[in-house]
Amino acid sequence: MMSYRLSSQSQIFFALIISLLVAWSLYFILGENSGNILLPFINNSRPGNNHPLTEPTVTMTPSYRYENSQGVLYVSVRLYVNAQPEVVNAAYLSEGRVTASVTGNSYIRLRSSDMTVLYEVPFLTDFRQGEPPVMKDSIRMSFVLPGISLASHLEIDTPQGITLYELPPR
Amino acid sequence: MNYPLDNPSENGRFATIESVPKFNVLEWLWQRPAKVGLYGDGVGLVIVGNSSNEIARVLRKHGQDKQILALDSSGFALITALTSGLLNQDVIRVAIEDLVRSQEIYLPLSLYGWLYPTGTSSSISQNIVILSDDFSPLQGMGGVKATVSQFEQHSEQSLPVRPRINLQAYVKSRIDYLGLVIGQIMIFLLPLLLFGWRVALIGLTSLFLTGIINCVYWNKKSLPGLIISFVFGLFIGVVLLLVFGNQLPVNISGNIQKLVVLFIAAAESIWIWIIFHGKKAEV
Repeated sequence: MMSYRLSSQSQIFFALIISLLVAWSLYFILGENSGNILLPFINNSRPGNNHPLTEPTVTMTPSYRYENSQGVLYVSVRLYVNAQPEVVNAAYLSEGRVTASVTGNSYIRLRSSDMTVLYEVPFLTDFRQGEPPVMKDSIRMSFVLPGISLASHLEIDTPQGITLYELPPR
Repeated sequence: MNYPLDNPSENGRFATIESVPKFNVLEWLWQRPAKVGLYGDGVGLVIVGNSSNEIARVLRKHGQDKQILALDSSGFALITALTSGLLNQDVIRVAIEDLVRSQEIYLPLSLYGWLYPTGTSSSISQNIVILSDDFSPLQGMGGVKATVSQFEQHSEQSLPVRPRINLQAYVKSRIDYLGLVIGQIMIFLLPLLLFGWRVALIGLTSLFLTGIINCVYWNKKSLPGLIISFVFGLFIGVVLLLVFGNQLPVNISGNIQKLVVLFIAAAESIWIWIIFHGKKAEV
């Protein structure tokens, strides 16, 4: 017959193994907001874990996670080949998914009233559209940014120029 | 299902243990199985489990005038082991017969009546001296004291002093198991806290609830214990999902995440089930 009795050393060993497995499993299904003291180390191996805070004090980077956020800012911009960009629309939405960050030569930034950068997301401007690709004079792009209460200005920074836009009140 | 206990020693007799275990209050949280064998050299036999605390306590009380036989009860006190099916009458009977082969033993009347309600074979009885009970030969059991006169007045079948497992004994054994659950919570605490307070809250709540439910139910003789323990864990997992469900991110709290919670609770329940089997006896 199989004995389920363990020695003291084995009990401690297996208890630690099981507790760590339980902890890892719970950690990954609960997400990153667990007050984890290992978070700075784990974040390095989990891209997109640095989720934006609602009241930032430092420049933040956007989230990769497909996760709905409350109170986001919808921005629609038109980019021109030979002119500086134009903000078509900027409005606060009750809920939305923040646009993922990609590498690119252009930036969209949220600035506070003293022009401190609160949020920055790079993007790539490509004026070729359609199949086969045809060069356009202008393209329209939309972004969803976190609704940061301290943000007062929106800045579109492209090789064609920089546009500063005053955000509407929330 | 009986696993081989280490009770009768291989050479046919119990060793006499010289070293005396010390009492430690932390044994309630973490078992300290002592060596199986005989302690003391008095007249009359007290049977205990190989719990260090129980041996220490009985030695302090009876060590001068009684011989103490510590059986392999997986580190539990005798009453806990008997209540939960880790030890039974047969194991104690085999241990005494093993002891009788090598020496004359003084057996309290009530213990004799409980173990041999229809008498013993002559080969064994010639080495057993029956004593009146002025002490409780089975530690923790109620209703075991008797006198020779009581024995003479009753037939063996109607001996009124057989040990019984009463509610008090059941409660005491459950308190012992509860201590082991709390001990496991203390071991789990640090690894879970490393991953955040929410992880610790859910993990420890799950462990505590599965511990409680196993604590009330657990008995080694009730089969299939492993499957029942697994089902208990799933039940606690459902309770956790109802209580902590809103802690899961809305857009990823799919079926896989819920299954993970269920299996975590089930795994913890099975771990508690293993812990309740006790520890190997010290060699």
